[in-house]
Amino acid sequence: MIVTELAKLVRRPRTWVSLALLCGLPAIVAIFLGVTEVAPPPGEGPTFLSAVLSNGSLYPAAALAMVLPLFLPVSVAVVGGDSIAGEAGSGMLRYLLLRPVGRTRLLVAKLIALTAYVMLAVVAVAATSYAIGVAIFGTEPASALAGSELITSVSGTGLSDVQVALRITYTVLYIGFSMLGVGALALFLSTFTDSPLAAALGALAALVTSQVLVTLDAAASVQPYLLTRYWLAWVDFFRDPILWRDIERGLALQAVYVGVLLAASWANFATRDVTS
Amino acid sequence: MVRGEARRRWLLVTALVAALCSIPFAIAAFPVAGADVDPQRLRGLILGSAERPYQGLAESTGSLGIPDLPGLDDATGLLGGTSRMRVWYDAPENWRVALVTATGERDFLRSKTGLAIWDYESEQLTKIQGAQTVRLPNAADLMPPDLGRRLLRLSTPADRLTGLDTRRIAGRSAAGLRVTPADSATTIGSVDIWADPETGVPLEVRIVPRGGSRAVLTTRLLDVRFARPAASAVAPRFAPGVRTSEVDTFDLLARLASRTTERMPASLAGRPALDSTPSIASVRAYSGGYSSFVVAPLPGRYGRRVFEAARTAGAGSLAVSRGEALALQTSVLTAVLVREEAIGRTFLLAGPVRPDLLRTAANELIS
Amino acid sequence: MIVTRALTKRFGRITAVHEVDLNVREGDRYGLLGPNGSGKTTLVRMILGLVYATSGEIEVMGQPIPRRTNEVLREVGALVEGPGAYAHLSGRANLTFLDASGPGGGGSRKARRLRVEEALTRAGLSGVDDRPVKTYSLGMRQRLGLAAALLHQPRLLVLDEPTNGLDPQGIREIRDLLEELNANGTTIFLCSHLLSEVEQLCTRVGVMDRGHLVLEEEMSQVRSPTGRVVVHTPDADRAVALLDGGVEHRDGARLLVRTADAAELNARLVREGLRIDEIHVQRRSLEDVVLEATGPGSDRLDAEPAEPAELDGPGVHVDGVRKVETRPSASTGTGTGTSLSPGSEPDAWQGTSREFLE
Repeated sequence: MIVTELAKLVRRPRTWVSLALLCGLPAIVAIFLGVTEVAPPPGEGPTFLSAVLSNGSLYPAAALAMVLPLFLPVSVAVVGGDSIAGEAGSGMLRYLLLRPVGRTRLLVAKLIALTAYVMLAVVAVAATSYAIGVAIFGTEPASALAGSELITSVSGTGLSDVQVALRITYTVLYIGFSMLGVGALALFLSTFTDSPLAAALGALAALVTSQVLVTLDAAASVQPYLLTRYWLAWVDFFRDPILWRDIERGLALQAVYVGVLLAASWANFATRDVTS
Repeated sequence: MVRGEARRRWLLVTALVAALCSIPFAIAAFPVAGADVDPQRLRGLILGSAERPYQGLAESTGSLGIPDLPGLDDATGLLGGTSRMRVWYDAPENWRVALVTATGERDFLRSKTGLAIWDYESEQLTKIQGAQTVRLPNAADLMPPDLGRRLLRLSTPADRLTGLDTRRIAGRSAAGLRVTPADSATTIGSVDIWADPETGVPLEVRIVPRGGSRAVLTTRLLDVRFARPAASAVAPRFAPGVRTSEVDTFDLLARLASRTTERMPASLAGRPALDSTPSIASVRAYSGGYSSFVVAPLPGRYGRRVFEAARTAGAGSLAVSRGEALALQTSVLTAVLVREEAIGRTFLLAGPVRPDLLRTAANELIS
Repeated sequence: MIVTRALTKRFGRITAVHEVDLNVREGDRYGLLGPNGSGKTTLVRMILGLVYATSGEIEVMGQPIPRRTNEVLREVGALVEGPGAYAHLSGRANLTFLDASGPGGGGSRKARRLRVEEALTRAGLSGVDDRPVKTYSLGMRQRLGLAAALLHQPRLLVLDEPTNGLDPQGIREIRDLLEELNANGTTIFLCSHLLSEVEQLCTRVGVMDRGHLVLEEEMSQVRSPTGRVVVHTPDADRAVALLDGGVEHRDGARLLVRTADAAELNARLVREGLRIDEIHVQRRSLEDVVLEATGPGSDRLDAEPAEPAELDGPGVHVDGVRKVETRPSASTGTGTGTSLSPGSEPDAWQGTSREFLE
């Protein structure tokens, strides 16, 4: 079942279109930056964008920062919202259940396929933006002296190539994991409706609410529980030493969201009438 | 039959959510251990804790709500919002505090040779030569241990010391202490400090205004470890090629000092002036326990700009004998701008004091 | 094979299925007839564990549903309310996915491919290429749905409107296929609103009306002689005189004679020198029986609507069966015969069956 779900994901044209769009935004930004060589000042615009002009190998981090607030969650919500509702819409849900595929199994397989999509998406963005970054900006920092430490961390210390690669890997995994909460929310909503669009929009509505509340001081009491609260914590990977506190909390929070939403999806879907 | 099943499943999920939601409350309600410590003894412990190394993460929340005055945003932002700071403290002259923001970081690195500041946003390392007795507050000043000790040192035997209930802070039981200033000139109602009863390192500090019950400034360690931090963390090796500059003073006060030649009187409103670095002799602080304040002359055009900004921000006017004065007042902090039209001098007076004290000082200044 | 007891399903305030006692025996070709909205599909979905009953019991192959749904479904092939497919994939890819999704999908890659090919062949799609399903005609999709139902040699085939969108040849093919499968031991449970489909294929028939199962009978019982013989003769006047009271009804040259023995009647009329165009035993048609047992379809909205289903007492159900069972005497007043039903309601259902027969 899981293999089938993955195969379905791979054979869907939409998967590749959405990945192309995700990878396209950083590519466009890189081309503009490369042509004009006008980078936003540090602290404004996407994180690390200022640093990439001198060294392209940090571009994956900047690219992930670009797609993180909107593009990535939207595509994850669309795929997640499609998981059950899309099957219902195509009329295949009943045939899968009649095959028979257990309802819980179907949910788990969908979640795994969703996870695979998320990871594929972040890895694709990181890989393409690395290639583009190196091709356009090169890997030699303009002001660097001779030495192996080529990149400056947020804390001002030098990072070796190996450290940069490792921290970008962490970032990719962390951002991928951060998306699972949105995906699980969309999956949960998609067990309620036969319209994939409604499920995806529902998840996005929750996401926007969360993003608004995160910036609102008056909502400080609920902020630690918000879905998007720790999304930006990936910057902490580029501090020296790495600040793990928010990252750990972010991972735990996403795990709780996924667990609870999967349980709620199961409670709903396993006892729901399938009338599509 | 299935409906019953569905109900059971939803109950299970609800129970799971309830259990998960109650975890933070359960942790918060976890009883604290350890008997209360005698306030006098705790005061001694805290004052003697400067040599204790520690590392961790602190968060400060200020609601001093000072209007943004030109050139002062860094300091006012610190007192009027929430900031997070990482700290590696080895000794009073060997520590690093990193003010962490969502997209960057500003590090304050103290070593035997002085203070260095790394600003990620300007990608610059600034080394400051010599010690400063008067400067704008920075993130390092908000570290609970530092702030706690500094505030306790200001207390006099006349101030009342009372014990506070033990609380759980950064996962530890912290003994509490309240200082109620006897000085009627200060706007500080009380200073509450909770400290680790073993090491005496303050874990949380609150400043409560006179007549108020809610703290206007709270700074607390979220995580703390009483272990000597690694040398590489306290004094990280900066990347080769990082832009570095050296200055005598770093902040606004340096700029003010370089543009005015005003000499400040040796005492104001009955309070003696503290020593100041020779290069910024024009900026002086006047010490009087909790009712200390600082006076800075503002150079001509900049003075006018600050004065107008304060007026726009809704500062109330204050009657002085020769000139014009504006008072910006929050529950604790009072800032007075006084302007002597004839000569065009502007002074900024600020401190946790009542406006009338600053008015007295202002009158003495321009008379 | 399928037994339900007092099966009821409510969606909110609407009762879709009301206390249905269905009994499909092993080896049956069971046809469930009913107008649109009579609850057929809901009943089928409950039997297959897609929809959960409000009350009542379901047993399929002796196993309770929904508790043992997954065990039961391994031996069931189904086509419910039209076929479903991933439109961007080919029919073959669709079947391969479906085959791989569930249990028993094992076996080597070759065995799986063979299984898919065989199902496609049976449904008449063996020559299908790699075009995506979205380019398929309605009939092709229907065949694909059938192929999916046949994928794992089911013991029970549940088919909801299986011939939807097929041309007459296709319908004939499917009917032959189902008869062949049935001969090899597959029980067939077929749902339709097409009388002819059920009449031609099924050995047993059930009729749903507004959520109630109003009739469940052997097809041979349904089509039993009524005890009357239809005679067409140019000498109708003489025949009426001759039979003296034996004629129940006359319509020009057409006479309805009460007698069980057509041969004897024929011999008698011929002996008297009457000319006879046509003579045959009158049988009940399925259409009459069904129309008798049901009201108008739910998609017909009259100004004075028929009594809503949930207001009907459970007695109606019993009533309906009794009405049919005592049919020979009850029918006297209404007049029967396919060729002579001017009084029948031209309702939507009948309309469909007519359309279909043309």
